[in-house]
Amino acid sequence: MNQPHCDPISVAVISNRLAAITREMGQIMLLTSRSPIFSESRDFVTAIFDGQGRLIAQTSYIPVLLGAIPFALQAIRDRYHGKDLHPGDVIVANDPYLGNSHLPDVTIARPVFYRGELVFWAVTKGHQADLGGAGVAGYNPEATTVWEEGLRLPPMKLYSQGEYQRDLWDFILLNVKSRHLVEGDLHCQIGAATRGEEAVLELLDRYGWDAAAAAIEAYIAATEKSMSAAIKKIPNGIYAGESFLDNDGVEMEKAPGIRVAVKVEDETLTFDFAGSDPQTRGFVNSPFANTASVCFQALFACIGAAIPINFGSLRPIRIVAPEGSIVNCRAPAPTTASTLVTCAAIAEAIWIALAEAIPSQTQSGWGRRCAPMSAGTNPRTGRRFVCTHHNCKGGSGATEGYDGWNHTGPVSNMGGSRATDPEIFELAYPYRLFEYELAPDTGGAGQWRGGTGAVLRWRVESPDVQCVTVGSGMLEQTRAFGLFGGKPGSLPIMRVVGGDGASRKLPLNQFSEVKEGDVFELVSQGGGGFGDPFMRSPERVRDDVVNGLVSMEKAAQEYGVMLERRGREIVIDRDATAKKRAARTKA
Amino acid sequence: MAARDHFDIGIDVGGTFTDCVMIDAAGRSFVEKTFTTPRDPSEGVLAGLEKLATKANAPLADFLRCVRRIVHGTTITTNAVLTGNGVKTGFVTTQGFRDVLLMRRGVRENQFNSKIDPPPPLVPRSLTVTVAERVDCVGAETVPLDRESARRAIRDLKEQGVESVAVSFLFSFLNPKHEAEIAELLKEDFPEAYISLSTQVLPQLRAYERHSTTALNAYVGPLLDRYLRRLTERLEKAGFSGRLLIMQSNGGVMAPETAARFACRTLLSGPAGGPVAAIFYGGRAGRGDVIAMDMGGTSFDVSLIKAGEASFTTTGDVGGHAMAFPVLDIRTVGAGGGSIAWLDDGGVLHVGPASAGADPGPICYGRGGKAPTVTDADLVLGYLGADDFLGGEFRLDIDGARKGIQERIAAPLGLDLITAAEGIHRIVNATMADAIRLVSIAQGYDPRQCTLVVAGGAGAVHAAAIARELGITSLLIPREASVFCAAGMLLSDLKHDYVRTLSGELGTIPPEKIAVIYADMSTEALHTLAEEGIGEREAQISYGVDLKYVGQFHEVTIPFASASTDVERLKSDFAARHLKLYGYNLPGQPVEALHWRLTAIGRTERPRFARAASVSSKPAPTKRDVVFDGRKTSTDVYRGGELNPGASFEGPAIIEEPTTTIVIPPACRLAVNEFGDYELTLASEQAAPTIAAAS
Repeated sequence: MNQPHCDPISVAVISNRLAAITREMGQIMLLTSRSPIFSESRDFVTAIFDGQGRLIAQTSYIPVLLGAIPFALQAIRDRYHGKDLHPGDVIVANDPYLGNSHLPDVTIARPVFYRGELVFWAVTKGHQADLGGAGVAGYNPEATTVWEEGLRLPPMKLYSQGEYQRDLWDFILLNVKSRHLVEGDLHCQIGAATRGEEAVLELLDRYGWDAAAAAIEAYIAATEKSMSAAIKKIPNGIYAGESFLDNDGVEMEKAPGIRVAVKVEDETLTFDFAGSDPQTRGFVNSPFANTASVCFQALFACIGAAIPINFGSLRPIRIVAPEGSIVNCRAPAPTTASTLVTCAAIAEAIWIALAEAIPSQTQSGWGRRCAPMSAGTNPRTGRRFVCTHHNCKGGSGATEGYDGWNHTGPVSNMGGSRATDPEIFELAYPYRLFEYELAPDTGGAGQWRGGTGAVLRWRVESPDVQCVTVGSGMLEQTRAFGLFGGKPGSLPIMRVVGGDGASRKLPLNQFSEVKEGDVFELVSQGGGGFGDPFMRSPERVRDDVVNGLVSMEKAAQEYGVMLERRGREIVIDRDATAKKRAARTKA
Repeated sequence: MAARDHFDIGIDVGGTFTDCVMIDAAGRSFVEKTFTTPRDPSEGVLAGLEKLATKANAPLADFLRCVRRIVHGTTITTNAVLTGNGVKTGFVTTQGFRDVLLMRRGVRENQFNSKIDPPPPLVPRSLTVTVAERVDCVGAETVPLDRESARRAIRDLKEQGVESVAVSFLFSFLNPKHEAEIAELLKEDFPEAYISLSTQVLPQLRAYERHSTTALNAYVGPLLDRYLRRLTERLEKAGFSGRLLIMQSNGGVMAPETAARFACRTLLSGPAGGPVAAIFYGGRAGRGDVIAMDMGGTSFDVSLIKAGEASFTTTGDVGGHAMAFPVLDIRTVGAGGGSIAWLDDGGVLHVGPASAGADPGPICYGRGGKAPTVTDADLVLGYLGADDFLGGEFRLDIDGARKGIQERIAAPLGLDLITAAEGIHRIVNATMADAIRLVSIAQGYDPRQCTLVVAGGAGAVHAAAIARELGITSLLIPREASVFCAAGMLLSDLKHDYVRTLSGELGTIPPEKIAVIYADMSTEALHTLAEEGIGEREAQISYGVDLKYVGQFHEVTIPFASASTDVERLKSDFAARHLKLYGYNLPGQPVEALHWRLTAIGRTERPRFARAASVSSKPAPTKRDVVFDGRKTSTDVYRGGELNPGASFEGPAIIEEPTTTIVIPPACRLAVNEFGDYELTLASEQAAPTIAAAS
């Protein structure tokens, strides 16, 4: 069959409309969610696929989900083989070994029929507050298999031809701890997919199937062309990068490593993860879907900020990940920390590799996530709560020409999620917050400074709190790296001070026993600096000192900028600065 | 001028033009535009009044003595925030929480773009000071205010030369004691400072949003205060002895004294006259469900009105800073006459959001613009007449427009000129239609049930096509469409919104507690209205509460009838609203209340608009070629003044008004109503535009 021809105006109108539909779906998710994970952390993505399972349009509210759903939808299509699918069906799935990333990210898919034929899919994927298992907020660092992490859902129907499938709903809700959140948020995801279905049907009624199909073909081809053109600007070559995690939660002394070779050949780009460590016993394994999603995320953050994300723009990108490795694990390895923790190491390995290829477009490391997850009972409300501690944000990495942003991480979210409001934090959880502000001297020094981390202190005010630490960044080789002479971000601090005044450091990726009256103390990691700090303009260094983000001592030591206080003013001692900076150059 | 003559005037100071609307005692309306004078906008206001005085045939002083009321919309506060030119402001907050305002909740709006800096802070970190004090999440004082540290903080700010001080402590909305204490200290130690307290500006939950609103108020308060003093003085000197009222972002007006204290209420007031005008014009044409659209040079504003009521939001944003005071829910997208058409690397055509603005403007303005814009396409298609623009004051360069579209769009895409121009027109229409869907469909309302009320210079050129895209069949284009917001201001009532926070499960909050906060709010409301000359009997009070299912993080405001709450009624209203908005509800699940709201309205005397006068001459349309659905069609072109009320005909046709052009496509019926407004009706079964698709 010949490719149908379509005029360029219809391509623009129809493709804009499809993208707008995914935004309408997202708006419904934001407004109707019950857990703050959707409404505040924005941990979800909405998309429209065509009948062949190709991604046509999507809005990813946080970057790590950018390329996560094509694989999930593929598994759903494989399950039904085009049979047993009807209008009014709603399919749920979350199994990491059937195209998903980790159990809490639940895919909801609605097949869309037009004149009896399956022509589109309206899909949402979002992080549910709880999917059972022995973990806290889904995170179980002691799990050595996926079964210990929670409930695995192969593709199944929550609605069949519009009929509520009570058996399945009852079964799922009986196996989760936060039933009231999960039930509401499944409905929220379904509501968004339902709006997607209505909207694409309206589009077909308006333009007809032939015109829509032709516009979609042309749009995919055009987007592919944009991506190819962007890749073509990267010099051909093979660029290597390496990054690490602190531990996998089970083997505490071993830092798992991720290695990538980015191969650029004209208009195609390959991420080859040969040489990455084998899959681990603990929960940091990344299923292929997650690894691919992070590759897309890391690349788009350097070269594709303006390119729409669909089948076309993803097609010039190839991903090779050895089976059985940490970046393409085999069942039944546990995977919960793959999105929040492993994501950072994968993205960083890629940015380090790209530093050689496109130095002005890559970026330094972001403050790694290093914070607890907690759950329990809030005595004030008598209800169960789940807290993901999204207020413990680190600084973002600097890039050529721009400082990192303060308190914006982690890399999985890249500033897409809102930190929990301090008042909501105290009202929703049994915690009293004593301190929540920026932490000076945490951002890595550089001509462009890494973003600043934050200090948080809070007291536990409930006898029933379970806690797990989740993250990385405590080791020299895992802290936010600097580039081209820029310094790494600070090492994070995470400890608990007991009622007796004794302080203990919390190890990463472990269950931690906490008692009522314990006080958590956290300092999140700053981002890595970019370029030689001695090249930073002395005025910028002084402004940072005036604003209390950099100390006078660090200004002298790390930036070679000599300042003095004159009454209220802080002034630059030009001569001393020139001398100090020249001295290092000579040395 | 007879002694019984009186005038009401609306003056809307925009970025380029100052729009003036005047209604005389006979209900006749007069429209004037002058250039805005950014250095001192009161000069432009006076210039506009001079022009109106000339229309009224009187010297300015005599004329002003007969002006009962001037309603004034100003964007000086908005501009100050957007350009970073507010006053030097200090921020006082709770010890340990210095950066809640600065951190902006850790959001980076464009996640994939690292080559961008955060918006400049309202208050730099060096001017943010903390004081030892604390109130817990149920309102109990856990750390008393340390007066010594407070005095130090105040001295620090004073020495650093701030002009204005914002104060917002954690949970102060539950216990205002510490903010009141620090206000006392400020009065003693720093009496010359402008003071903005969160407990007075916006006593509600969510620290960042409250801090930001309070800081915005401090940042622009002294500017607005000074401006209004200057304006009042100038007006009084010129002979004005009537009432000056200031437009707010919630669609109401307030006295200048109130505005000076709560300057943040003007921050999103620029387009706020629009929905008010849409309610009025819709109402007099018998339409309650209305979508108001205003398409200017760079942006498209849209808002939804249900049964004569506008919608509001508390998630406003000014230059990247949260503004949580209730404002009219007006969505803005970058689509206007100046929107630029461009091709991306993949060869896909886009229109906007970049705009050629007023300078250099579209190619056809002949001021050096090189990029083809929506206005250029409209000209090429014949929707605009080269010789008729702005009443013929300004000739448009049609050859330049043709050449620009041909070279930059048509040739690279392999299209002919007309198809390319029509494409630009369609794409920008589709963008505007998507914006309308977000305020209607995505909020649970069907736009096809609504009338589209059209405003803005470019609005009526595009409105029928946008309506067709959405299946909307009824449109209304007021004769004052080009000064729509100024007209809306004249129709606004005194309006004040109040909020208190009292959270808990519905049914478990003691009714007496609710009664206390409502007594408190209505005292404040009646006091403010009394200052503005509205007695207790004339005040209209309405009530609302923000509800959510326990555990949800987004509330829905549910109105209720009186200060005594009927819990079961509230629950069922909430369930119905939730279902309507989001497609589901959760019967039997507990419902939580958060913010309790009170709105006080003091009705202002509405000017009476006269019915349109008839003209005796017969309309004598000229002809020009206009493109509809790809075909050049010889089309009648009317002058606005020559159509009488009751006139009615079928498109295609064009009506040229001095400041706008109305495009009536084929299969669209025009009727001029008794007020001289244009009503368009599209055939509902009209087919969608056909798209070439061959196999």
